[in-house]
Amino acid sequence: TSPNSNHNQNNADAPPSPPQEYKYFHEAGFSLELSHYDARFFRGPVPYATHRAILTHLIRSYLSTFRVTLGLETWLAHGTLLGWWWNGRIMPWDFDVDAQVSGATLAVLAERHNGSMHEYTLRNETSGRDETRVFLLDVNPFGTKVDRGTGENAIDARWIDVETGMYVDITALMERDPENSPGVVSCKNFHWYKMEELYPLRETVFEGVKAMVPREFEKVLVDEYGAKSLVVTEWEGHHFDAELKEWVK
Amino acid sequence: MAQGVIAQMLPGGRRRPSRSLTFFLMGALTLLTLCLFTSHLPGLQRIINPSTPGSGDVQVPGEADMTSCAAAAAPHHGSDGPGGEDSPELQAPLDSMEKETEYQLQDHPMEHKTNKHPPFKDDPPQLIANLPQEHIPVYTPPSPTDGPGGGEKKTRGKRLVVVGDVHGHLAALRALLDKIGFDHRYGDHLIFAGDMITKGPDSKGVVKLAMDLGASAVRGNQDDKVLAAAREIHRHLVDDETGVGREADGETDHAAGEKDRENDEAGTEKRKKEHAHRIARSLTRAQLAWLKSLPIILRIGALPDATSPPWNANTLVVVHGGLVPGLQLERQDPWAVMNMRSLIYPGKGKGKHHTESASDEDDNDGNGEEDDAEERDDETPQSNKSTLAPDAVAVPIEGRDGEPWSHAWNRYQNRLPPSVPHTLAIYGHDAKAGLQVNPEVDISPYASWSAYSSGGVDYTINSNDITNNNNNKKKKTKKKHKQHKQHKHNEKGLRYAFGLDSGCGHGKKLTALIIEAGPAGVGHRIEQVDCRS
Repeated sequence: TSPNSNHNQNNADAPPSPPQEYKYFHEAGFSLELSHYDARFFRGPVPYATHRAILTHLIRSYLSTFRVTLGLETWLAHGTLLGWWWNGRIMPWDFDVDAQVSGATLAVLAERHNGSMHEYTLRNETSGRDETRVFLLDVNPFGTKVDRGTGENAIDARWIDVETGMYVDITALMERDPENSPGVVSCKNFHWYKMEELYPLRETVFEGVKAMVPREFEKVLVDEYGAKSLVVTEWEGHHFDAELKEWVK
Repeated sequence: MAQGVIAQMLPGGRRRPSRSLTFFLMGALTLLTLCLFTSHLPGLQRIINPSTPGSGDVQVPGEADMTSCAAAAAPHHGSDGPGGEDSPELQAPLDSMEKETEYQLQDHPMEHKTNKHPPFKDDPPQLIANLPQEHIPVYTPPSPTDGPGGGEKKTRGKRLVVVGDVHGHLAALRALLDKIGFDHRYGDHLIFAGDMITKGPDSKGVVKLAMDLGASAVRGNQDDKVLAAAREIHRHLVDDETGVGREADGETDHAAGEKDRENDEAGTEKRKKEHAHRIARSLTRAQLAWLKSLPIILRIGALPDATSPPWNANTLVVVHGGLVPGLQLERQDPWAVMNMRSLIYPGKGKGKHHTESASDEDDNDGNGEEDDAEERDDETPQSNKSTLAPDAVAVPIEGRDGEPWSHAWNRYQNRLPPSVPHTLAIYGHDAKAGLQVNPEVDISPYASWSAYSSGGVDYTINSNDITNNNNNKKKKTKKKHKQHKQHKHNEKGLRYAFGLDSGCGHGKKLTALIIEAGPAGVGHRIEQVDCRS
């Protein structure tokens, strides 16, 4: 295969990407608010008061399904990792969730689980009733490509709540330049990591379920958000309450 | 009569001053006396003392309970105050007075002001373990009944031997123990400051020797890594052999076999051939269990025969990475204690930061501090001064971007009043810093550093913001050389943090700190051997 080929895969078993790249995932809009919904399942913005319950359901279903049903490894990333660091929960102003997988895991997703739907039942803490939600695992056909291509497909897969269109952004870390940068993995969104910063992953808890975080989570957070992110307790109109260990408005 | 007195004082010899003048002067005198009297009340000292560092708010003793900890630990910016160079010294008596008052308060809520992430599965069963009393070095004078033969060894007394990061160098460890004539049968007790394994040639041998000698140890970050690797390859404890009971929360991992196959296909096979995994595989389950049982902090307690500071400290502890000054041992974060090298403090920036007086005064404090900071920056345009409230929260980090935690620790211990319990820490982990045992240390305030207060890095947490992340990466590399400006006026103090990682893992030296009780009290000495791969 030529260096510019779209068929440059991470795993030979994964289905080949379409020859002509196009933007696969579409958000409901470009505003900060609308950009966190999958356009196909968007029915209207979810208000602040109710969005947390949906996000909790989203991340629990994602982490549990991956671990128990699919038997695949994934870990928290970006804003979600920062939320874990502060109090093990999604930060209230977040409207999506970020997770990472290895390139090899993505290939397995693409080949065996693309388009799969999963039910997950959770007790809604506010209403006290059990809720069952349905989630779609949608793999970007350009996800398994190693190069970034046009840049329109920086997200490799999504775990989508079909009722609201809210989702978990899944990006795959691959060794994209083994000759010049051995042992360095990256996503298509300009995040680089040394393998030893990630592995072996640490098993912990997030939003009440088992979750994995990178080995050097503190370095990863400081590299991405600056040391400030670990100390500033006023953020996005919220304040980190010392007693409650919660971000309150 | 008063009028007569006043009359004599007045120039020009006026014989009869007016009544109103008399009353005025009497009133003024009374007021002055009242002021002098009340100004000596301790509570008001803070109000009138202009060199009190920190926010513009008055700190009433009751509310600012946690501030003492961070206050002593955090850098003072008194060097910029009205007193100039002298102000830190002028401040010292007042600070220690404040601290004495504040330290008496039970609650040290520094933890409340910082994060609390969920625990790790790999965390040890206990954060702190106490060294059994029988190992505490006590001087036993030679008894006349001892014969000429074995008298020497028996009357030497028990020694505590704390060894830095061994990193699998069994030969060097043996050589070191031989050099000091270590004999656990005669009461010598060995303590490892973590990182017994990985990097060197015989991790398994080191663990075996440690267990055979009945040694104590604390968990280091490399030990932690091997335990994580062991978990990944399902090497923990007996339960895991059958696969039953592995999921503590009751979820049956029915896809376990499937999971292994998937993961193996998903490239984890390659990772499982790495160093940490190989070591995890080479250790027996009993050895892994021993490693897993090690605490994060080993508390030695007090040495009864110690007569002078620092060894007469109320508590001696052994940790691998470090400790946050002013925070109770029970509240230290396990990851931080294993990994920290330096401490960062909130500086000014785009986000309002949180100073640690009463929670409902947050906004005022934040603004006040920022205003002060801006003023100071105007006065001294050359220097990158970031103002840090003395009650700034210290956040431990693995990197070296902040103040070395041992500096903050030494400063904090030295500033404690003699009556308040002191803690002496022995640690490893920092091979780059190397051996840190000089009895005299610099406890100057850590004046300033510009790690993240300058540069205007945007801290918007938005994963879709590609440019932001890109800029972060670029700015991070530029700021690799941090300026750690030390106060010109060097304050000296006693060392309360002893660093023993002399780079054995890198083929340098292995160090032992030997604590022994002799007729003159408790002493310590350092012994070293070379580590050859």
